[in-house]
Amino acid sequence: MLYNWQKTHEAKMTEFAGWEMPASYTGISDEHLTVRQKAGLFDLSHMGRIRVRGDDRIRFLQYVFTNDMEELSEGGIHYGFLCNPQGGVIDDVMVYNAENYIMIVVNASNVNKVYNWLMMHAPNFRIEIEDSSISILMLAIQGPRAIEIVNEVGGMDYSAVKKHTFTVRQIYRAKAVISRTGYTGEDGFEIYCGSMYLPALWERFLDIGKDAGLKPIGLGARDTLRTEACLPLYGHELDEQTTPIEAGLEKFVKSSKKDFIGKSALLFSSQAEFARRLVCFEMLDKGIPRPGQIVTFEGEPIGKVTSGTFSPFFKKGIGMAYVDQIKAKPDTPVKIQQRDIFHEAVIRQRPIYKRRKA
Amino acid sequence: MQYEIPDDLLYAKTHEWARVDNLDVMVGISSYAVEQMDKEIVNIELPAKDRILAKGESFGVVDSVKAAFDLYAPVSGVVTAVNKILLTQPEFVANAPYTDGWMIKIRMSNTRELDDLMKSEKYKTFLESEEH
Repeated sequence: MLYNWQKTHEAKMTEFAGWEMPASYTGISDEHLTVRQKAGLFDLSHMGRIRVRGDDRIRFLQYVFTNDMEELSEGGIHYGFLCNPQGGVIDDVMVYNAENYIMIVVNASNVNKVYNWLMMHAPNFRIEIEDSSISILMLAIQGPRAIEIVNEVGGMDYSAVKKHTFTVRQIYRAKAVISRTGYTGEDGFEIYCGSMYLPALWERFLDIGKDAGLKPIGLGARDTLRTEACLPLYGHELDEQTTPIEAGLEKFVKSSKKDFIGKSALLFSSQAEFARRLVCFEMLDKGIPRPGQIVTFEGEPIGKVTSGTFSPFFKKGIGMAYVDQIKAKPDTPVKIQQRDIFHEAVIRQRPIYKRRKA
Repeated sequence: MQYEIPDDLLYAKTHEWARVDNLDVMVGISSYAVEQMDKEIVNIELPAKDRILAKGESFGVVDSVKAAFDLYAPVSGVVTAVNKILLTQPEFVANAPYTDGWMIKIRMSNTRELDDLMKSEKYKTFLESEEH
């Protein structure tokens, strides 16, 4: 929706899940460090926004979603999974509990799949499901200076909006859902508003945020930021053959709650029963890991890289990989195979990047 | 998009350039290749001196933040010099791809292989077809 703005501002565009999106504006490292040090603005219109209305909406989410909706008060947000009966991940999503609807924010590449999955399980519930991905658009502002910029654009103090909660407010000309969420490892907000208001809000943010160093950020830096923060990306760390337990995200699966899809597969399987585990690692030499490369330990293959990049913050190669459960401990020395070269790496505690609390 | 494509060089379809001086061929990558790497090169792996390369053989790797790109020998021959500065200062490739960013020199073994490389005008036309 910001296509014209981006085309006239020298963005390097890329196609992603059918959307033409900006890959980078000023260079991935520059944009990455802007978010770590100041603030960055992301156009996330490509992500899916599905709304569920009706009396049974909470009961429905309890059934299709792994996190516990009973613990989610109005204005609250849960991260979690839509799983298949085998416990594999259909999608990882954010669920917003609003006054009279639930909004599910889904990955761009999974919008149709998730919509169909929800519709398939809907008949026993009094609910309506609406794909609002086109009518509602979304931007994110992330970084240590994000809050002061949001306060100024919104004309009020947003520090009362705590992590993983949201408020519905007028911001600039738009009525918007404003949530304290993100995908970068920094403090920040994600803002949802009607599609007609987004371009003006985008420009307003860049205008007001200029003095604080706010810059537009492309999908390239979004990926390097989330990799440093060890946040999973669907299609890399998660897919229908992978459980949230293997991904180390069991705290978003509430096995204590009543029946939900995938429960029996996930519930009785303690961590130890899964053969592999997601780890993060950093390179000890100049090698830069890439998805698909083999991880070895004492000459034996133990797993595969799922995400790998040069880290603009640490100035070295970092990544995530699924490895044999027994070898998944921090400080384990491993090697990453790049063609015929074995680069030295070490498994680290998750996450690799953790922001200092203000 | 306009790229700087010097007239005195030859180009491979894989975007390496070759500067020919009798049997010595200096090799680097074009400004188009640099653009494909977001102009941000963070690591380079180059071959050892004296390595024998066949035309089209991978002689190294260039990493941008997001991806790795193979480097292919534009001609067959033996590596006579390696621009080792790039190992610590890979940004030279993006900043000056045709001068400080040169990668290796090859003493070529078969001058007829030069016929397979493109002159600048042909390479520019080739880039237009790559773009769309």
